[in-house]
Amino acid sequence: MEHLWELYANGTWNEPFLIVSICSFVTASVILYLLLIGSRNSHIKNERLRTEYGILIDKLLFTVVFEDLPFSDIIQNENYKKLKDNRFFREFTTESVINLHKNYNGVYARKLEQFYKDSGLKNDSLKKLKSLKWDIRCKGITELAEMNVHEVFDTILTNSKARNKTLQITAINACIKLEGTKGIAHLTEHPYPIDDWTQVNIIAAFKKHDVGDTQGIENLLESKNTTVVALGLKLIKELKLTQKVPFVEQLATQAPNTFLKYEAQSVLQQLTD
Amino acid sequence: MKSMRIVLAEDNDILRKSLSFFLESKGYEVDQFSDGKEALEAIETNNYDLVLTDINMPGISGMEITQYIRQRIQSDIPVIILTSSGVEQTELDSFDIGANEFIAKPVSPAVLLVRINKLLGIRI
Repeated sequence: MEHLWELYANGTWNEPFLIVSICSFVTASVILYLLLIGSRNSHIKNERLRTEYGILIDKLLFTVVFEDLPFSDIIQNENYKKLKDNRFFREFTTESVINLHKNYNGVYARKLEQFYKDSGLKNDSLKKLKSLKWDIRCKGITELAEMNVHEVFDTILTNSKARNKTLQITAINACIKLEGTKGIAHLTEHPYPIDDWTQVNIIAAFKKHDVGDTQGIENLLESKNTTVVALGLKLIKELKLTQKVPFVEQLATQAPNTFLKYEAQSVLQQLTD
Repeated sequence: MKSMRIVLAEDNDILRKSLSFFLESKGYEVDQFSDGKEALEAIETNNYDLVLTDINMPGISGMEITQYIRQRIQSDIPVIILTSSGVEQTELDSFDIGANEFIAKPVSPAVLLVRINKLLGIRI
């Protein structure tokens, strides 16, 4: 410290300062340049692998879906045998299976679900649920819900109580996809306010997944949490659940505050017009 | 028998490739496009028996393709519209501009095949 002060006091600090600054700048530039090159190379390599694996994955999935190729035959495929434990290949296969599953229904979707289980891709998704990173957990939840893995419902339900908003909404959406109304039954006891953004997402999930059985939605109207009651009213209104009119009528007469009373009357008017 | 030619316009790569694989395995000749504009150019210059198009696509939408076929080319080639939109109005608009069939995603290839065969008058 003393040495530095002497350098400053006798006015000879400019030269070493400039040398150190220039050296630091050049070193930082070289490091950033190398990082940039590394990242670019990695992207190029991944793109090349995607093209290469894409051909194999497409062929594999199409034979599974359209030619009823059993998994015992797939496992004999030399290319598949070589790549089945490669992390990137597995990740890309999961992506393709999920994408195809979103677009197909009926027996074709069931075949993809079976392949997802047999190939161990389901276990990869289950591992994601244990990640400490919320985005990885969201990915795992989305994959498992898309592939209708009902046994993870309780784990996903736990995630729907997470603090992270995105994780919470992803988990609630997944619960609705897997179990319909049962997926939001726990909200009746929810201790905190549910914001508008979460409510919009829940309503959108009900519409998207075309939840047929709406039994239990009326229970939301009995919650002590007024935002949950408001959500129940919005769901009844948006899904046009005329069979819930008696419950809304009851709320309109016994609402805990004027806002809910007004909302209930408005929903009643829309449903009975 | 001459195989039937189908235009498949769909921007989702794996869905387009898989449907193409499925239809080709059923004996159809499929020309696939991921861009609406390219699909329309192909329709204008070739003779196809059926058009299968997604609504939301880069270039030109499936609705515009249907409208162009009916109004500008004045062709009565069967058009099937595929969409992930669950909006009732989209379905009504599709029929209004001249589509013969409207199929909401997720699709069942088996059901799609039955509808294609019906439109082309093919008995199995």
